[in-house]
Amino acid sequence: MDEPARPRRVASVPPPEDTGRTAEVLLVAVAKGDERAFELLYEKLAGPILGLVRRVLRDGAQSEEVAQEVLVELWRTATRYSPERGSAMNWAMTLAHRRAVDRVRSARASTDREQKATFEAARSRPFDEVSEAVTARWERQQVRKCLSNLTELQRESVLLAYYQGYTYREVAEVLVTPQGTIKTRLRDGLIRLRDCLGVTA
Amino acid sequence: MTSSEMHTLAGAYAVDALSEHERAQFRRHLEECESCSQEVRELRATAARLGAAVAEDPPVWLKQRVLAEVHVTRQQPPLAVPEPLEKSRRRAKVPRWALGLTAAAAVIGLALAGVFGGIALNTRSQLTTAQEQAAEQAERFAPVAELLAAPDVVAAHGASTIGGGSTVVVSRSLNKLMVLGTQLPEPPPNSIYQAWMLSASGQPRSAGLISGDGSPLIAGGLDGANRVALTVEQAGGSPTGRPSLDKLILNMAMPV
Repeated sequence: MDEPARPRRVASVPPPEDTGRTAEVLLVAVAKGDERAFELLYEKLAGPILGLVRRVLRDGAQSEEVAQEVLVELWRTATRYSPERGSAMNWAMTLAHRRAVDRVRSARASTDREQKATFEAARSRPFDEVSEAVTARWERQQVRKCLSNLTELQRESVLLAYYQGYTYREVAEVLVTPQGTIKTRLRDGLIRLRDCLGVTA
Repeated sequence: MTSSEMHTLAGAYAVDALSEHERAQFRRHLEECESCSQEVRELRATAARLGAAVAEDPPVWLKQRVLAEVHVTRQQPPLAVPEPLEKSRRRAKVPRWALGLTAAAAVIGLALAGVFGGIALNTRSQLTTAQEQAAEQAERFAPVAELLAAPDVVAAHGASTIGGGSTVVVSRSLNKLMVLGTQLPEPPPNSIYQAWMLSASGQPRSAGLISGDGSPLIAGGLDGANRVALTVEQAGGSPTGRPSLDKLILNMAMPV
Protein backbone atom coordinates (compact mmCIF):
# COMPACT_ATOMS: atom_id res chain seq x y z
CA MET A 1 0.00 0.00 0.00
CA ASP A 2 1.21 3.42 -0.85
CA GLU A 3 2.21 5.66 1.98
CA PRO A 4 0.05 8.77 2.23
CA ALA A 5 1.88 11.71 0.71
CA ARG A 6 3.46 13.83 3.39
CA PRO A 7 2.78 17.52 3.17
CA ARG A 8 5.94 19.33 2.15
CA ARG A 9 6.79 22.95 2.40
CA VAL A 10 8.38 24.32 -0.71
CA ALA A 11 10.46 26.73 1.35
CA SER A 12 12.17 23.86 3.17
CA VAL A 13 13.80 22.67 -0.06
CA PRO A 14 17.35 24.03 -0.01
CA PRO A 15 18.18 26.31 -2.92
CA PRO A 16 20.56 24.90 -5.54
CA GLU A 17 24.26 25.68 -5.19
CA ASP A 18 24.58 29.13 -6.68
CA THR A 19 28.20 30.03 -6.22
CA GLY A 20 29.02 29.46 -9.88
CA ARG A 21 26.52 31.99 -11.19
CA THR A 22 28.09 35.13 -12.56
CA ALA A 23 27.05 38.54 -11.25
CA GLU A 24 25.33 39.19 -14.61
CA VAL A 25 23.24 36.02 -14.33
CA LEU A 26 22.42 36.88 -10.72
CA LEU A 27 21.28 40.37 -11.74
CA VAL A 28 18.84 38.85 -14.21
CA ALA A 29 17.37 36.82 -11.34
CA VAL A 30 17.38 39.90 -9.07
CA ALA A 31 15.36 41.74 -11.72
CA LYS A 32 12.64 39.16 -11.10
CA GLY A 33 12.59 40.04 -7.39
CA ASP A 34 14.76 37.12 -6.25
CA GLU A 35 16.10 38.20 -2.82
CA ARG A 36 18.28 35.10 -2.49
CA ALA A 37 20.01 35.97 -5.77
CA PHE A 38 20.49 39.50 -4.42
CA GLU A 39 22.19 38.09 -1.34
CA LEU A 40 24.66 36.24 -3.58
CA LEU A 41 25.15 39.38 -5.65
CA TYR A 42 25.83 41.28 -2.43
CA GLU A 43 28.70 38.90 -1.67
CA LYS A 44 30.29 39.75 -5.01
CA LEU A 45 29.74 43.51 -5.05
CA ALA A 46 29.55 44.87 -1.48
CA GLY A 47 33.33 44.73 -0.92
CA PRO A 48 34.30 46.67 -4.05
CA ILE A 49 31.44 49.17 -3.53
CA LEU A 50 32.31 49.91 0.10
CA GLY A 51 36.03 50.03 -0.67
CA LEU A 52 35.60 52.56 -3.46
CA VAL A 53 33.12 54.73 -1.56
CA ARG A 54 35.39 54.83 1.48
CA ARG A 55 38.39 55.67 -0.70
CA VAL A 56 36.51 58.73 -1.96
CA LEU A 57 34.69 59.79 1.21
CA ARG A 58 37.19 58.64 3.87
CA ASP A 59 34.60 59.01 6.64
CA GLY A 60 33.59 55.54 7.85
CA ALA A 61 29.98 56.11 8.86
CA GLN A 62 29.20 58.16 5.74
CA SER A 63 30.82 55.53 3.52
CA GLU A 64 28.72 52.74 4.96
CA GLU A 65 25.61 54.85 4.53
CA VAL A 66 26.41 55.60 0.87
CA ALA A 67 27.42 51.96 0.18
CA GLN A 68 24.05 50.85 1.56
CA GLU A 69 22.28 53.39 -0.67
CA VAL A 70 24.14 52.08 -3.71
CA LEU A 71 23.39 48.42 -2.95
CA VAL A 72 19.69 49.11 -2.44
CA GLU A 73 19.72 51.13 -5.67
CA LEU A 74 21.12 48.08 -7.50
CA TRP A 75 18.20 46.05 -6.20
CA ARG A 76 15.72 48.76 -7.14
CA THR A 77 16.99 49.28 -10.67
CA ALA A 78 18.07 45.72 -11.55
CA THR A 79 15.07 45.66 -13.88
CA ARG A 80 16.80 48.31 -16.04
CA TYR A 81 20.07 46.39 -16.33
CA SER A 82 20.96 44.56 -19.51
CA PRO A 83 24.24 42.72 -20.01
CA GLU A 84 25.01 44.56 -23.27
CA ARG A 85 25.42 47.72 -21.19
CA GLY A 86 28.49 46.26 -19.54
CA SER A 87 29.38 43.90 -16.72
CA ALA A 88 27.56 43.97 -13.40
CA MET A 89 30.74 45.04 -11.62
CA ASN A 90 31.11 47.88 -14.07
CA TRP A 91 27.56 49.01 -13.48
CA ALA A 92 27.95 48.82 -9.70
CA MET A 93 31.26 50.71 -9.69
CA THR A 94 29.91 53.45 -11.97
CA LEU A 95 26.93 53.96 -9.68
CA ALA A 96 29.04 53.80 -6.50
CA HIS A 97 31.54 56.34 -7.81
CA ARG A 98 28.80 58.70 -8.91
CA ARG A 99 27.06 58.55 -5.52
CA ALA A 100 30.29 59.04 -3.61
CA VAL A 101 31.24 62.00 -5.80
CA ASP A 102 27.78 63.53 -5.40
CA ARG A 103 28.19 63.32 -1.64
CA VAL A 104 31.65 64.90 -1.74
CA ARG A 105 30.55 67.76 -4.00
CA SER A 106 27.43 68.65 -2.03
CA ALA A 107 29.49 68.69 1.16
CA ARG A 108 32.31 70.62 -0.46
CA ALA A 109 30.02 73.26 -1.87
CA SER A 110 29.56 74.42 1.74
CA THR A 111 32.61 76.62 2.18
CA ASP A 112 35.42 77.82 0.00
CA ARG A 113 37.81 77.74 2.91
CA GLU A 114 37.23 74.04 3.45
CA GLN A 115 37.82 73.52 -0.23
CA LYS A 116 41.17 75.29 -0.04
CA ALA A 117 42.12 73.14 2.93
CA THR A 118 41.21 69.96 1.03
CA PHE A 119 43.39 71.02 -1.86
CA GLU A 120 46.32 71.78 0.41
CA ALA A 121 45.97 68.40 2.08
CA ALA A 122 45.78 66.61 -1.28
CA ARG A 123 48.81 68.43 -2.60
CA SER A 124 51.00 67.43 0.33
CA ARG A 125 49.65 63.87 0.49
CA PRO A 126 52.02 61.39 -1.11
CA PHE A 127 50.48 59.54 -4.03
CA ASP A 128 52.21 56.43 -2.81
CA GLU A 129 49.41 56.15 -0.32
CA VAL A 130 47.01 55.19 -3.09
CA SER A 131 49.56 53.00 -4.82
CA GLU A 132 50.34 51.20 -1.55
CA ALA A 133 46.70 50.31 -0.97
CA VAL A 134 46.35 49.22 -4.56
CA THR A 135 49.24 46.79 -4.11
CA ALA A 136 47.75 45.34 -0.93
CA ARG A 137 46.60 42.13 -2.58
CA TRP A 138 48.23 40.16 -5.37
CA GLU A 139 45.25 40.45 -7.73
CA ARG A 140 45.71 44.21 -7.58
CA GLN A 141 49.20 43.93 -8.95
CA GLN A 142 48.11 44.30 -12.52
CA VAL A 143 46.38 47.58 -11.77
CA ARG A 144 49.51 48.82 -10.02
CA LYS A 145 51.74 47.65 -12.83
CA CYS A 146 49.58 49.40 -15.40
CA LEU A 147 49.42 52.58 -13.31
CA SER A 148 53.21 52.63 -13.34
CA ASN A 149 53.12 52.72 -17.16
CA LEU A 150 51.41 56.12 -17.06
CA THR A 151 53.32 59.37 -17.06
CA GLU A 152 53.38 61.04 -13.68
CA LEU A 153 50.90 63.69 -14.78
CA GLN A 154 48.54 61.12 -16.26
CA ARG A 155 48.70 59.00 -13.12
CA GLU A 156 48.20 61.90 -10.74
CA SER A 157 45.30 63.23 -12.79
CA VAL A 158 43.52 59.87 -12.95
CA LEU A 159 44.06 59.07 -9.27
CA LEU A 160 43.03 62.52 -8.03
CA ALA A 161 39.90 62.55 -10.17
CA TYR A 162 38.87 58.99 -9.41
CA TYR A 163 39.89 58.41 -5.80
CA GLN A 164 39.48 61.99 -4.53
CA GLY A 165 36.37 62.72 -6.54
CA TYR A 166 37.83 65.96 -7.96
CA THR A 167 36.58 67.68 -11.10
CA TYR A 168 39.26 68.18 -13.74
CA ARG A 169 39.32 71.89 -12.84
CA GLU A 170 40.08 70.97 -9.24
CA VAL A 171 42.75 68.54 -10.39
CA ALA A 172 44.27 71.36 -12.46
CA GLU A 173 44.31 73.56 -9.37
CA VAL A 174 46.05 70.95 -7.21
CA LEU A 175 48.62 70.11 -9.85
CA VAL A 176 49.10 73.75 -10.91
CA THR A 177 48.57 72.75 -14.53
CA PRO A 178 46.29 74.25 -17.23
CA GLN A 179 42.77 72.78 -17.26
CA GLY A 180 43.02 71.78 -20.93
CA THR A 181 46.12 69.74 -20.20
CA ILE A 182 44.41 67.87 -17.36
CA LYS A 183 41.38 67.11 -19.55
CA THR A 184 43.67 65.55 -22.14
CA ARG A 185 45.84 63.71 -19.59
CA LEU A 186 42.74 62.19 -17.97
CA ARG A 187 41.63 60.82 -21.30
CA ASP A 188 44.97 59.56 -22.59
CA GLY A 189 45.88 58.23 -19.14
CA LEU A 190 42.68 56.18 -18.99
CA ILE A 191 43.20 54.97 -22.56
CA ARG A 192 46.70 53.79 -21.71
CA LEU A 193 45.35 52.04 -18.60
CA ARG A 194 42.57 50.46 -20.66
CA ASP A 195 45.03 49.05 -23.18
CA CYS A 196 47.39 47.81 -20.48
CA LEU A 197 44.59 46.11 -18.52
CA GLY A 198 43.05 44.72 -21.71
CA VAL A 199 39.62 46.15 -20.83
CA THR A 200 36.84 45.52 -23.36
CA ALA A 201 33.32 46.85 -23.10
CA MET B 1 32.47 73.79 -27.76
CA THR B 2 33.47 72.00 -30.97
CA SER B 3 32.98 68.29 -31.48
CA SER B 4 36.67 67.44 -31.12
CA GLU B 5 36.90 69.53 -27.96
CA MET B 6 33.87 67.60 -26.74
CA HIS B 7 35.62 64.36 -27.51
CA THR B 8 38.47 65.10 -25.13
CA LEU B 9 35.94 65.27 -22.28
CA ALA B 10 35.35 61.50 -22.52
CA GLY B 11 38.02 60.74 -19.91
CA ALA B 12 36.79 63.34 -17.43
CA TYR B 13 33.21 62.18 -18.00
CA ALA B 14 34.11 58.54 -17.36
CA VAL B 15 35.52 59.38 -13.93
CA ASP B 16 32.78 61.90 -13.01
CA ALA B 17 35.22 64.81 -13.16
CA LEU B 18 32.94 67.24 -15.03
CA SER B 19 30.78 70.01 -13.60
CA GLU B 20 27.04 69.41 -13.80
CA HIS B 21 26.76 71.76 -16.77
CA GLU B 22 29.53 70.11 -18.78
CA ARG B 23 28.21 66.70 -17.86
CA ALA B 24 24.80 67.54 -19.32
CA GLN B 25 26.46 68.95 -22.46
CA PHE B 26 28.57 65.84 -22.91
CA ARG B 27 25.59 63.54 -22.45
CA ARG B 28 23.82 65.30 -25.31
CA HIS B 29 26.96 64.89 -27.42
CA LEU B 30 27.05 61.16 -26.57
CA GLU B 31 23.62 60.63 -28.10
CA GLU B 32 25.03 61.59 -31.48
CA CYS B 33 28.50 60.12 -31.22
CA GLU B 34 28.63 56.32 -31.28
CA SER B 35 32.44 56.16 -31.10
CA CYS B 36 32.31 58.38 -27.99
CA SER B 37 29.77 56.07 -26.36
CA GLN B 38 32.03 53.12 -26.99
CA GLU B 39 35.02 55.00 -25.62
CA VAL B 40 33.08 56.04 -22.52
CA ARG B 41 31.98 52.45 -21.92
CA GLU B 42 35.57 51.28 -22.13
CA LEU B 43 36.99 54.06 -19.97
CA ARG B 44 34.31 53.48 -17.36
CA ALA B 45 35.13 49.77 -17.36
CA THR B 46 38.77 50.80 -16.87
CA ALA B 47 37.89 53.10 -13.97
CA ALA B 48 35.84 50.25 -12.48
CA ARG B 49 39.06 48.24 -12.25
CA LEU B 50 40.59 51.02 -10.15
CA GLY B 51 37.48 50.85 -7.96
CA ALA B 52 37.58 47.09 -7.59
CA ALA B 53 41.27 47.29 -6.70
CA VAL B 54 40.44 49.00 -3.39
CA ALA B 55 37.78 46.47 -2.32
CA GLU B 56 37.54 45.81 1.41
CA ASP B 57 35.60 43.37 3.54
CA PRO B 58 32.31 44.97 4.54
CA PRO B 59 31.16 44.63 8.17
CA VAL B 60 28.63 41.85 8.78
CA TRP B 61 25.93 44.22 9.98
CA LEU B 62 25.96 46.09 6.66
CA LYS B 63 24.66 42.99 4.91
CA GLN B 64 21.85 42.63 7.43
CA ARG B 65 20.91 46.29 7.04
CA VAL B 66 20.96 46.14 3.25
CA LEU B 67 18.96 42.91 3.05
CA ALA B 68 16.40 44.27 5.51
CA GLU B 69 15.98 47.44 3.44
CA VAL B 70 15.81 45.47 0.19
CA HIS B 71 13.06 43.33 1.68
CA VAL B 72 10.82 46.40 2.04
CA THR B 73 11.90 48.21 -1.16
CA ARG B 74 9.82 47.99 -4.28
CA GLN B 75 11.76 47.51 -7.52
CA GLN B 76 11.40 49.89 -10.44
CA PRO B 77 9.23 48.46 -13.18
CA PRO B 78 11.20 47.63 -16.34
CA LEU B 79 11.04 50.06 -19.25
CA ALA B 80 8.49 48.09 -21.23
CA VAL B 81 7.55 49.27 -24.70
CA PRO B 82 3.81 49.86 -24.99
CA GLU B 83 1.94 47.83 -27.59
CA PRO B 84 1.48 50.36 -30.45
CA LEU B 85 5.09 51.56 -30.33
CA GLU B 86 6.39 48.02 -30.30
CA LYS B 87 4.37 47.03 -33.35
CA SER B 88 5.54 49.95 -35.40
CA ARG B 89 9.12 49.27 -34.40
CA ARG B 90 8.89 45.64 -35.49
CA ARG B 91 7.35 46.37 -38.87
CA ALA B 92 9.75 49.06 -39.85
CA LYS B 93 12.83 50.65 -38.42
CA VAL B 94 12.03 53.89 -36.68
CA PRO B 95 13.99 56.52 -38.57
CA ARG B 96 16.01 59.08 -36.65
CA TRP B 97 13.70 61.92 -37.57
CA ALA B 98 10.84 60.04 -35.92
CA LEU B 99 12.75 60.02 -32.65
CA GLY B 100 13.23 63.75 -33.12
CA LEU B 101 9.51 64.11 -33.67
CA THR B 102 8.79 62.21 -30.49
CA ALA B 103 11.07 64.58 -28.65
CA ALA B 104 9.40 67.56 -30.32
CA ALA B 105 5.98 66.17 -29.40
CA ALA B 106 7.18 65.83 -25.83
CA VAL B 107 8.30 69.46 -25.81
CA ILE B 108 4.93 70.57 -27.15
CA GLY B 109 3.33 68.33 -24.55
CA LEU B 110 5.33 70.06 -21.87
CA ALA B 111 4.27 73.47 -23.14
CA LEU B 112 0.64 72.39 -23.19
CA ALA B 113 1.03 71.00 -19.70
CA GLY B 114 2.10 74.49 -18.69
CA VAL B 115 -1.01 75.99 -20.29
CA PHE B 116 -3.53 73.45 -19.10
CA GLY B 117 -1.90 72.76 -15.77
CA GLY B 118 -3.25 69.74 -13.99
CA ILE B 119 -5.44 68.61 -16.89
CA ALA B 120 -2.48 67.96 -19.13
CA LEU B 121 -0.43 66.29 -16.43
CA ASN B 122 -1.32 62.79 -17.49
CA THR B 123 -0.50 63.49 -21.14
CA ARG B 124 2.78 65.05 -20.15
CA SER B 125 3.91 62.04 -18.17
CA GLN B 126 2.91 59.77 -21.04
CA LEU B 127 4.95 61.82 -23.47
CA THR B 128 7.90 61.87 -21.13
CA THR B 129 7.60 58.08 -20.85
CA ALA B 130 7.44 57.76 -24.64
CA GLN B 131 10.52 59.93 -24.98
CA GLU B 132 12.39 57.89 -22.40
CA GLN B 133 11.41 54.71 -24.19
CA ALA B 134 12.53 56.03 -27.56
CA ALA B 135 15.90 56.92 -26.05
CA GLU B 136 16.06 53.52 -24.36
CA GLN B 137 15.38 51.75 -27.66
CA ALA B 138 18.00 53.76 -29.50
CA GLU B 139 20.48 52.88 -26.76
CA ARG B 140 19.49 49.21 -26.80
CA PHE B 141 19.99 48.83 -30.53
CA ALA B 142 23.15 50.89 -30.79
CA PRO B 143 25.35 47.81 -30.06
CA VAL B 144 23.53 45.86 -32.80
CA ALA B 145 24.07 48.64 -35.32
CA GLU B 146 27.71 48.90 -34.31
CA LEU B 147 28.27 45.18 -34.81
CA LEU B 148 26.49 45.06 -38.18
CA ALA B 149 28.49 48.05 -39.37
CA ALA B 150 31.85 46.43 -38.56
CA PRO B 151 33.93 45.93 -41.74
CA ASP B 152 34.69 42.29 -40.92
CA VAL B 153 31.21 41.21 -39.87
CA VAL B 154 30.26 37.62 -40.78
CA ALA B 155 27.18 35.55 -40.06
CA ALA B 156 26.17 31.90 -40.05
CA HIS B 157 23.08 29.94 -39.24
CA GLY B 158 22.89 26.61 -37.40
CA ALA B 159 19.91 24.29 -36.94
CA SER B 160 19.06 23.03 -33.47
CA THR B 161 18.14 19.44 -32.63
CA ILE B 162 14.68 20.53 -31.45
CA GLY B 163 13.60 22.64 -34.42
CA GLY B 164 14.47 26.21 -35.29
CA GLY B 165 18.04 27.29 -34.75
CA SER B 166 20.31 30.22 -34.21
CA THR B 167 21.96 32.92 -36.26
CA VAL B 168 25.40 33.95 -35.08
CA VAL B 169 26.98 37.24 -36.18
CA VAL B 170 30.65 37.83 -35.41
CA SER B 171 33.08 40.71 -35.71
CA ARG B 172 36.61 39.76 -34.68
CA SER B 173 37.84 43.34 -34.89
CA LEU B 174 35.20 44.37 -32.32
CA ASN B 175 35.79 41.09 -30.46
CA LYS B 176 32.01 40.66 -30.25
CA LEU B 177 29.32 38.28 -31.31
CA MET B 178 25.56 38.39 -31.52
CA VAL B 179 23.36 35.34 -31.04
CA LEU B 180 19.74 35.32 -32.19
CA GLY B 181 17.32 32.51 -31.56
CA THR B 182 15.32 31.83 -34.72
CA GLN B 183 12.06 29.95 -34.36
CA LEU B 184 13.30 27.91 -31.46
CA PRO B 185 10.38 26.30 -29.63
CA GLU B 186 9.29 27.94 -26.36
CA PRO B 187 11.67 26.57 -23.69
CA PRO B 188 10.09 24.28 -21.04
CA PRO B 189 8.66 26.08 -17.98
CA ASN B 190 11.27 27.64 -15.68
CA SER B 191 14.02 27.11 -18.20
CA ILE B 192 15.82 29.24 -20.75
CA TYR B 193 18.28 28.92 -23.63
CA GLN B 194 21.86 29.74 -22.80
CA ALA B 195 24.52 30.47 -25.42
CA TRP B 196 28.15 29.41 -24.95
CA MET B 197 31.44 30.22 -26.60
CA LEU B 198 33.69 27.18 -27.02
CA SER B 199 37.37 27.14 -27.79
CA ALA B 200 39.82 24.34 -28.48
CA SER B 201 41.46 24.95 -25.13
CA GLY B 202 39.80 26.18 -21.96
CA GLN B 203 36.36 26.00 -20.42
CA PRO B 204 33.20 26.94 -22.33
CA ARG B 205 32.22 30.47 -21.47
CA SER B 206 28.65 31.74 -21.19
CA ALA B 207 27.68 34.35 -23.76
CA GLY B 208 24.37 34.94 -22.00
CA LEU B 209 20.73 33.93 -22.10
CA ILE B 210 18.41 34.14 -25.10
CA SER B 211 14.73 33.87 -25.73
CA GLY B 212 13.41 31.47 -28.36
CA ASP B 213 12.73 34.04 -30.99
CA GLY B 214 13.51 37.66 -30.57
CA SER B 215 15.89 39.98 -28.91
CA PRO B 216 19.55 39.72 -29.88
CA LEU B 217 22.17 38.76 -27.35
CA ILE B 218 25.49 40.55 -27.73
CA ALA B 219 28.59 39.34 -25.96
CA GLY B 220 32.21 40.45 -26.04
CA GLY B 221 35.50 38.70 -25.39
CA LEU B 222 35.66 36.05 -28.12
CA ASP B 223 39.21 35.20 -27.01
CA GLY B 224 39.91 32.46 -29.50
CA ALA B 225 36.46 30.86 -29.30
CA ASN B 226 35.62 29.03 -32.53
CA ARG B 227 32.26 27.38 -31.80
CA VAL B 228 28.92 28.45 -30.43
CA ALA B 229 26.63 26.11 -28.51
CA LEU B 230 23.12 26.41 -27.10
CA THR B 231 21.86 24.49 -24.08
CA VAL B 232 18.56 24.44 -22.21
CA GLU B 233 19.19 25.60 -18.66
CA GLN B 234 17.08 26.40 -15.63
CA ALA B 235 15.74 29.95 -15.40
CA GLY B 236 18.58 32.34 -14.60
CA GLY B 237 21.14 30.24 -16.41
CA SER B 238 23.30 27.22 -15.61
CA PRO B 239 23.82 27.19 -11.81
CA THR B 240 27.27 25.64 -12.22
CA GLY B 241 28.42 28.18 -14.80
CA ARG B 242 29.08 25.28 -17.21
CA PRO B 243 26.83 24.07 -20.00
CA SER B 244 24.58 21.09 -19.20
CA LEU B 245 25.89 18.83 -21.93
CA ASP B 246 22.87 16.48 -21.78
CA LYS B 247 20.76 19.47 -22.79
CA LEU B 248 22.87 20.56 -25.72
CA ILE B 249 20.59 21.50 -28.63
CA LEU B 250 23.02 23.18 -31.00
CA ASN B 251 26.77 23.18 -31.59
CA MET B 252 27.99 25.14 -34.60
CA ALA B 253 31.21 26.60 -35.91
CA MET B 254 31.61 30.33 -35.48
CA PRO B 255 31.62 32.04 -38.87
CA VAL B 256 35.04 33.20 -40.12
